[in-house]
Amino acid sequence: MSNPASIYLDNASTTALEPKALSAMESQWREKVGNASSIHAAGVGAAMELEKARAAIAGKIGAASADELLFTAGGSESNSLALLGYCRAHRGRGNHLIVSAVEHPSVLETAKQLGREGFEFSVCGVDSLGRVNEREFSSLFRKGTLLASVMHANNEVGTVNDLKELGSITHEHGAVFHTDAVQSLGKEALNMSELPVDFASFSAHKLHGPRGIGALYIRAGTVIEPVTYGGGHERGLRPGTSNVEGAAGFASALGAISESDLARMRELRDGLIRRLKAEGFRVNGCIERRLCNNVNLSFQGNGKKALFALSKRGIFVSTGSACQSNKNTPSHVLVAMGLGAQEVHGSLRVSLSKWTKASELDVFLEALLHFARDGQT
Amino acid sequence: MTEQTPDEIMDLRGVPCPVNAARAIMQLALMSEGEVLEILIDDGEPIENVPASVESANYQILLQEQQSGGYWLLRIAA
Repeated sequence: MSNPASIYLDNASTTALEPKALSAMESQWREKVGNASSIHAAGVGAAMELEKARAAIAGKIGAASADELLFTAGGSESNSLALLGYCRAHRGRGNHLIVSAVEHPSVLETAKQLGREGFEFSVCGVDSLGRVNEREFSSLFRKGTLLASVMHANNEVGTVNDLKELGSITHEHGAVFHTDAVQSLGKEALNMSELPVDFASFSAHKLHGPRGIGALYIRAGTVIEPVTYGGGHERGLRPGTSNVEGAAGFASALGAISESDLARMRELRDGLIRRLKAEGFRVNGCIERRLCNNVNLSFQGNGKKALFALSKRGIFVSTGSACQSNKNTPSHVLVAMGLGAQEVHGSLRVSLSKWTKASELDVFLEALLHFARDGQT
Repeated sequence: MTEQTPDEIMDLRGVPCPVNAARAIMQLALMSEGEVLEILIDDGEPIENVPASVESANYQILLQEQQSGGYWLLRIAA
């Protein structure tokens, strides 16, 4: 952070760079020049770095092979590629897909785009805690359903869905299952060899990796078509010069997350939730199945005004997701969960990182309490 | 030595250049001196590029043989 006194609690939007990731990228930038598609030794060297990163990340998610992992520019691109690439490739078999109501805009808007292309899509609701309603989900399948997409962990309220159950229901209906795992990678156990998941989207910058690199897991044998053209990179599915530095940083950042980091975040999260509840705040989302770094709260006030007041003090939180917080629309996630207008209007998301300190949460809570009482921090 | 049973086998058919060479060299780097890696690669660009890339990385090709399916088998000393 440029201001050492600032308190950054918006880690679901993006995270500070892991020093080991910076070091991994710096050595690529400073010492290596090859394009990973060139056939000379420099190019082969770059391709080796890319494949090392691919193998490391594939190993972390339990992929059967590194070939199941495709590098992209981030989570939104991965989501779009999975939905567009699969549905367009299988148009002859069906024309229907299912998405949950609380998906990231890159899933919801892609479903709408498919709608403009002649596909039909159904939106599955969630319960008051943000969990996909499995009975409703199951009822939405029909002849010609190609794909269902449900995020692993919600970016606003942190609720974690049961991929095993939802993926199994999807497979029972002969469709493929996609999950947006951008928020959960590095925080929740993900073993693709054991999960009934055909596509999973990831992003490096949510886990202290660099911005501009992500990945899409595609189970072996699952056929998709590209959405961009002009090169054979990434098995011809994602043309463009490979981001070797980004891939190296992604792998390094993911490898640097430890169990103790997660346990510490859980402890801080639980402590903050306890204190917020004691002060009369509402905590949104599921308490038991929740990302280790997420706290989403509502109070009798204006969430956006609170955000700016906190920001003035160098405390950075969010209302809704970063992709939507600059819009004056209420959070579609909280609305889908059935929260009242005031609870939506007065909501804030606090998201921790592995470097968040207890003392920072003390300062945040004190400032929030002042704001809730006096309208200023 | 060309008759030596390979210690590792990699099927790199369908893997584009230069990723096929990169994966072979990464595997060779993991093996002990004297061991042999056998790789299968496609005809065309791969057989034109991979042997040169492997030799550029200072590994010796012991055997290069086209198979009945048109693809190539290479044995490389680690």
